Amino acid sequence: MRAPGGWSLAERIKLVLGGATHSTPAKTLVLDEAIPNSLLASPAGQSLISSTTLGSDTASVTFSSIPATYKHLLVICQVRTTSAAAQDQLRVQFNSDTGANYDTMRLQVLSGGIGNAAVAGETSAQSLNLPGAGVARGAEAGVGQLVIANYAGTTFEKTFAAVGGFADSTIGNSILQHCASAWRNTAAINAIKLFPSAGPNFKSGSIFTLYGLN
Amino acid sequence: MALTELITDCSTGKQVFRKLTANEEGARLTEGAASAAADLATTQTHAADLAIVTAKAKTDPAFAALARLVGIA
Repeated sequence: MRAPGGWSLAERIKLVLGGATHSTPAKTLVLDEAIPNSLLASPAGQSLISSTTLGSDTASVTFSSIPATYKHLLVICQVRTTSAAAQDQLRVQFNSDTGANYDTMRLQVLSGGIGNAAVAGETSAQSLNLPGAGVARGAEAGVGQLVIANYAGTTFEKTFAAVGGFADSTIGNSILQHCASAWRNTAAINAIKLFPSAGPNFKSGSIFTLYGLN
Repeated sequence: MALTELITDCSTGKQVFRKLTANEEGARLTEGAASAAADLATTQTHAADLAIVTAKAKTDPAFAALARLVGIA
């Protein structure tokens, strides 16, 4: 490849690491033209699809018309709910399906020990725990992520893995939850609805970000 | 209390707030109460089980060691 002006790309891309003196020659790093493009600009990675910061208390957040062009989806959120209790939970529905088609296996880590529960045939999937109004501090939020693998595929039913929770000054309120949840449907996912279990609202300032992974 | 849903169209980036209908709002509140009650029941069962384990561990060193190993200490 020849860059404009008759110089090769390697000749034009030189990074000077140290200046020359009477006894120390300049040190240069020359990028070789033979470096494959796959290393210079990898197409693999994470692309921001959408990010939302709530400006007011809101009952649910929906990402619709999700492009089918990625391999996987990643949702990252920082959330607090208006529930009067200390602990609330983030619920998930796909493609506006409100039927009893969601199953969850969850592992909860609490200050007093570990608990687990399997639930089947719910109208939404469980994911991660969130703080409500009952926690010690008013500005606490829960954090977590959901990984939805092969969301555009149609061979298998859809599954996702979630992890998240929060730590409170009142340690009895602190909780971490891992979930493997399933949607009994092989359709490609084009919409994700997120809402609090009890809520009824997410608090203003909560953030929801959707990434596409390749 | 009026509940709203925030919908983001990922193909256009357009965001729309939609007010839930009365039926949707009623269903949402009913479902929230039910799931909160279920979560509370699970937590209470867990706490009751934990109390039994803790009591047993006070009189049985081997059981206490086992409880510590599985994170109940």
